Amino acid sequence: MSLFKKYGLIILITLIFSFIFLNTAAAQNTIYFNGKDISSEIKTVNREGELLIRARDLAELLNADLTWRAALKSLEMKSQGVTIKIMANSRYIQIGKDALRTKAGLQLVDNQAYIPLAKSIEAFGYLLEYQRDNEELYIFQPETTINNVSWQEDGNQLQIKMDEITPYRILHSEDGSEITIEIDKAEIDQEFSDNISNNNYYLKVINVPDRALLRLVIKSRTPIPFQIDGGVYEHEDSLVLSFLPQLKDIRINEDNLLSIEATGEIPDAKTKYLSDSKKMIIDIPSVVIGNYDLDIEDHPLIKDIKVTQHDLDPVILRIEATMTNGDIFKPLQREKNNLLTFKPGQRSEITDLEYAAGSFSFTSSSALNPELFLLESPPRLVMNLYHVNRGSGIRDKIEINNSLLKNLRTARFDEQTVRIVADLEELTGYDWIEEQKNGRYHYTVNLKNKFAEIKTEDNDDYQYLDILMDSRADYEVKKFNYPHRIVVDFKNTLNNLDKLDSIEKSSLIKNIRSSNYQLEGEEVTRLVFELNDYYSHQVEAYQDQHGIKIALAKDYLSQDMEEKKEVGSYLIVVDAGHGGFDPGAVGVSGLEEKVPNLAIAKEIAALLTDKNQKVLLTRESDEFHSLQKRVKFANSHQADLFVSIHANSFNNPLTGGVETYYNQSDNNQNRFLAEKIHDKLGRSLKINDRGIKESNFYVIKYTKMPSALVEVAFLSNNQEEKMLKRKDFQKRAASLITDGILDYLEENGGN
Amino acid sequence: MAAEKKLSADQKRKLLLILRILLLTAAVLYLFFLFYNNYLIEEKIEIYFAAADASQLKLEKREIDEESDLYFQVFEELKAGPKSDELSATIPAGSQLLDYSLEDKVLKLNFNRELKDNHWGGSTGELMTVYSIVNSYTTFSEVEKVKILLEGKEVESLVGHLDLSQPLLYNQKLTEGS
Repeated sequence: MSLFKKYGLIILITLIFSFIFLNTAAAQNTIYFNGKDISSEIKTVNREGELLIRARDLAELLNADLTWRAALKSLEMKSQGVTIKIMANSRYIQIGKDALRTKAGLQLVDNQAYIPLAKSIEAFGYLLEYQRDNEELYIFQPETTINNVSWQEDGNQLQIKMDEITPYRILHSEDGSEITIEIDKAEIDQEFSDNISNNNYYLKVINVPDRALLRLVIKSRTPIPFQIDGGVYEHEDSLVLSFLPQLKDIRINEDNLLSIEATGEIPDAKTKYLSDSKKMIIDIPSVVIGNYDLDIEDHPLIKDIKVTQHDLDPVILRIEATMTNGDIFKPLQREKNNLLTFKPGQRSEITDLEYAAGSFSFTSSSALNPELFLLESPPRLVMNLYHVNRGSGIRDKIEINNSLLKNLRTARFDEQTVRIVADLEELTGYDWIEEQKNGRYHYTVNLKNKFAEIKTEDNDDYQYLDILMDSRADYEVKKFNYPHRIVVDFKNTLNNLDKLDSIEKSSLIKNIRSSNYQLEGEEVTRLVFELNDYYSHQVEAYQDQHGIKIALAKDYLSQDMEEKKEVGSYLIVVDAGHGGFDPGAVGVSGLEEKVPNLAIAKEIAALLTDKNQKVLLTRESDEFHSLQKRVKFANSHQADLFVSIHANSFNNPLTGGVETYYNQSDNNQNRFLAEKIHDKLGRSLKINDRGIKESNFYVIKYTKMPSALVEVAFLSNNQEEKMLKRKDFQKRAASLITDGILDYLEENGGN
Repeated sequence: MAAEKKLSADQKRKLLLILRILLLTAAVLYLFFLFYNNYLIEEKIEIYFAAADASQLKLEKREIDEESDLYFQVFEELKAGPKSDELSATIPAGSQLLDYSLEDKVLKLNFNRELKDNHWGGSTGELMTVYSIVNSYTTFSEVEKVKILLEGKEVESLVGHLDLSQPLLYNQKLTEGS
């Protein structure tokens, strides 16, 4: 073993020497001085791992005075007020009053003095940078001087004052407790003194000689709250690093106010309560832990407080307070932006629980985050409210006993929770809304309206349809004909109509069905009573609008009525779209829109005239009329109805179908007319039903009477263009539109 | 000594590598931050096109072309049509935006006659064309209403249905579908 050791040592020594040799041989650097290659102008040698330059060359380079005292074997070089001294057989360079140790010191080679290049040239204020694996050495003067580093803004900003801002980088260690400001081509001012190191921070200035870098390294025991984004900005000739505020202090005062203070602005915190473990968790974003004081000792309310840097990306400080009794602390209105204050037991107070028409409501002193859920057997809606107290107007029980609700009950569920329970007759849909008024929060829970009962009953004269809702109904009753139907549209209503078959029908009622229907962008539940015959009907509400009673007459109740049944005579303007030089849309095979428009319009006129109606056409031939002229025509004749006939088009040949447009009016008569007309077209035209639509078309917008515009079919659709050419299709469309008009007149015309 | 120096150079290289990785990470984080805060996304304009069945308008986003005028760019994008197969273009061939003016939040767009003359017509066709224009321009906060002019003249309608005598507001019904 000892033999092996001996040999090993020899091999090691040989290796080291060969390394030194190799290194010396490889030290033929290219040296640049202020960007100029001076390798050929100077002589260098490598000794003991240090690059030495012939003193004479350096003096020439720097334009320095060189004094060689042969007797002392001492060398002195002076330039720009800096003097360096170096003696043979000493490894020290004396710069001003300081002495710097070098590796090789002054070496005499061929009777010439060689001195360490880096150390001596740095003494004259130059910077060195090795590049390309040390093959190139750059010497240049620093571009900037760092004059001062100081704290600003109560320790939230670090200002680095320098002559000029050169490229820089800011790096931080993984745990965030060390931050390095790396500045290129910078030197530190000779007068620089460290005035940023304190209890929390420790500054180290590192000159990286070979890289011409200056590093300001700041260390801390805790993560340094540097902001990754937007943490650095340049202000004149300073670099400014913004730090996130640090937790400074947590205390609880005599009034039991818990306060959390930071060195700077604290955003609003998120507070959570864990009732099981009696913990309150306060998550504060953009604050770091810092060197804080915790002044909570043997407090009756708080058992323990734990502070952690919960996360660094994003930065979240977590304060976990364990409560003695499960009390809670509620955030108070912010007074200072660097302070969060919490008050114990400040639960929200809820007041004024009321029930009205399918909704119950209450108010709260602060925003709640209620939890709602339905429970079966018995059916009930439960609303959990956390950290609230019951204030005035919150009774234990409100008896309601309607078809929707039995009772409303409130109770303290546990230390944290107040529970509102709505005892339902049966499970139903619900939604809740929050409104803020005068600093109070109003909560309303709407139970979706439901059908309670639909029944039919009759006497000699009338067949009655009774529809009873759980709460006040928002509805429209409409009568359609051919086939005769009574249609009732209910808003905000659950379609719980699954036993319609079991309702007793009669000679008058053929069928009852329901559907979900879109009306002006809102889903409504539509109830349809299909009738075998129809004479007249009346609608009246009962039970405070919870109920709708529709009375269908079984016969003409009088001679008068029979006469009235005959639709009166009205003046109807039928408008054939386009005409003359305006062909309207042009079909795939060349059919011009104006042609079927006029054909259908004329057919409608003929059919309506047969039904004792007065009809005026805006055009009777292929001629052009402006939109304005058409409107004036109808308005000046004081028409009762206006119906415009068009054929549609789009730049996609696959698009097709029938649609009817109306312009929204206060009395909804435009929509009722469109509904009546489209009811017929949608059911019987036998093409795609695109529905009724609202739009601001000129002729239906400015006409003063109820109006609608029909787009019968698409000319841009090959198949539909063929249909539009055909007389039978034109007649069918005209007949359906006529039926719709008459249906409208029958029900609404007398108004 | 030489070995020591070599080692320290190695260490420096390693350090430099770590610095580079850190810088790259910071850059990537910054980009994420920008995306997250919609800083980049906001630099896009919203262009409305017709659904293939013409039942509604749907928007596509486009990068802002810094070189061209924003208002002209919107119309160019409308003309260029949608990227999605499920949408249809709404602007007839040969249409040009001649000029525009903005006064009291009303944007007057002056088109050439091709917008009307080359139009395929129909109520639905007209609705899609006019409101793809109106909705696209009213996404700018400075535009509340759009008034369409043809070769400098006011028109009562584009192809005989919609009332264009009044400036038009953003049409929400068409964007929600029927």
